[in-house]
Amino acid sequence: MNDMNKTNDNKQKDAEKSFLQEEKVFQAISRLDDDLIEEARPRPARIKRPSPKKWLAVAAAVLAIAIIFPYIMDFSGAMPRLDPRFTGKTGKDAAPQSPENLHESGELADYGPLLAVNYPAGHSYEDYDARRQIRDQNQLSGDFLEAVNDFGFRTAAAILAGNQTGENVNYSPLSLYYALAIAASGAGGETAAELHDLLGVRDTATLDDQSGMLYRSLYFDNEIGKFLIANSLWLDDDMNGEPVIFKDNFIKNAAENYYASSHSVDFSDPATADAMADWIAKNTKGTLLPELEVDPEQILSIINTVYYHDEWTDRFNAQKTEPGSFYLSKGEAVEIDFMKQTFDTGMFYRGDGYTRASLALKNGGNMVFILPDEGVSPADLVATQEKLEDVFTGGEFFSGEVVWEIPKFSFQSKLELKEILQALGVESSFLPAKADFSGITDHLAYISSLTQETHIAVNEDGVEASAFTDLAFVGAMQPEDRAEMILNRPFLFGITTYVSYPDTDGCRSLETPCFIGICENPTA
Amino acid sequence: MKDSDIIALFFAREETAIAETTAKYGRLLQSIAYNILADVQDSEECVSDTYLQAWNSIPPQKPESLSAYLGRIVRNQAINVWHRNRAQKRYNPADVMLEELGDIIPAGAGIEEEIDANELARHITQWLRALATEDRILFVQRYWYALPLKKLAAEHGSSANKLAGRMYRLRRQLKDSLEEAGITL
Repeated sequence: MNDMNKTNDNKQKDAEKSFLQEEKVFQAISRLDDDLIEEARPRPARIKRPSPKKWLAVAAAVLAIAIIFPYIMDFSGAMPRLDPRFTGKTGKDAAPQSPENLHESGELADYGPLLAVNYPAGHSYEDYDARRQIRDQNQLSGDFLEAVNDFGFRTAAAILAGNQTGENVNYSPLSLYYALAIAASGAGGETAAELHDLLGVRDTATLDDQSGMLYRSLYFDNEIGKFLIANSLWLDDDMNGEPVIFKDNFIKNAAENYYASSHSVDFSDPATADAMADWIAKNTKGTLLPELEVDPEQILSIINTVYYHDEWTDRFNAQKTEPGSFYLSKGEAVEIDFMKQTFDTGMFYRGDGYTRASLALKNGGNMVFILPDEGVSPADLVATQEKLEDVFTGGEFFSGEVVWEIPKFSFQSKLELKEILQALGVESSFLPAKADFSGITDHLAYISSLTQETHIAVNEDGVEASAFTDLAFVGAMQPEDRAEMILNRPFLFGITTYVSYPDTDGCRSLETPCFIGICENPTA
Repeated sequence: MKDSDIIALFFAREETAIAETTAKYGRLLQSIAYNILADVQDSEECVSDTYLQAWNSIPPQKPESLSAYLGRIVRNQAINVWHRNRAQKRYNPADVMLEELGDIIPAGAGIEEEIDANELARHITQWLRALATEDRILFVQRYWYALPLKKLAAEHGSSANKLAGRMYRLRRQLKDSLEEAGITL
């Protein structure tokens, strides 16, 4: 019996020894020269995922600028000649025209596009060459990207700090930037100067050029996610019987650099509001169905939509989602489902009054969550632009275990932005006597309203039971620190994306905020 | 993005480095880990940990080939997970691969001083360089990238059985070469 045990023991020892030797060979092969490894690099393997269950982050925004014909007008001057293209409206199905053909056509669609645009071609998620090509062809300037970020934080701080109602708020700086940039492209004099100042650019040419490049750099539409930015111009050429002529250059530039389609409409017809709402719903994949009101005095509406949808790089296990309490600012608690996940080796930042960590999205973006420290309210963290920037980009870096508990939330918010922009120095655009949109039309015109509606959802789309192993992973690294991102009290969030630009040292990139918001009550 | 640009981002402590690495090498790393573990979640963990190790090691490291550098890390992560799974008697493709590597172990009494992994790597590299290109690629694809035999066979227009024979001969050749050099593990 003893002998038998000994034999078994020896067998086991031999097996262990051989196993160690095999592993030594494995380790040695790990260390082969780089060139041998490069030489044998296989084509990327497609891995079949275990289930189509997806955890999604979806966000959408629409921004509408209404440009109106002033009520009190001096018609003593000669009225501009009626542009023959704007007579004889035809059916709704008239084919859209390319910018080049604009001059040659004598026909316009009723509410169909007068001028359609071709959006950038989408490329597949794995097409790195296409991505690289887009980056190479759109050499953004670091100054411009910083201006976009500065605009984002400046306006977001003003909007979020002004939200004293304790309601959820979500704001897309990017959407406002594009809508204002289009308006600025047709502005002159002081109106243009004020807009350029807020947008952080010196002149219209730079703004148009860089906005176009940023558009192409951000845009993606693949099998995993979408980042769709759409702009449109809604033009009414008839103001109570008086013809209104829009300038070709404005419309063509909007199409070329802002991918803005143009639509000829009649703002005194309620069907116009429906046509605009349809366009918004289509471009936000049905997430936004706004009820629009149009003003018969309106001559132009600029609408921008941003639609963002991507999958988490690290999926949540639906079976771990559990109901829990979320404590509102006023003290009471509401019940909501929390998605849970722990990263043994994660990255996070701690700053004055907050902890920040991000969840990566597959197309390179991030959803950033900022949990105010106990006793700190989101309002404290958004009080000034400097504080908001610190909260999103500053703090001390740590790596270690990150425990996530995120309420599944979804809400819509609506913002009136006119007063905020006025407070930020954009004044003449809103004043009938001072506004100069001479690049859009020779008629007097001013901005009457500026509204943004957004939708955000962080949730599970389509549930399918699938097995997840439930092992705590022991990494090779010892966690140095630990963060609990247990978002059971009001928090800040953002969706950001990295945009690269050439620099003297090679290539740098900036994390650009596309959405910034506060979740006060995930059940609201 | 070029490797040198990505490495510059690591050096600048730009978090984009991770995003760029994911975009360029995510699939490759995932496939290496998956070839060893055959488990999507396990391999995703390995890949995430690879990014963090890269973040923590570059700088000071400045790898010549980022794909080889990251690939080595992910192989190590995967073999760690394989150990864990083995303890729990979970089957992984690495079992087959390591068993194959057993053929390479040179015979020896084990009294000589044992060779370290670096030295062994040098011998294997030298041996590989003397091989015909196709054999060399086959060997590296099977034992570095851990590509399954079936897939290798499909890519090289051969049958799995035929290829298994060819791989076996390669392993024996390597074993002979190590024995000739008097190497003991």
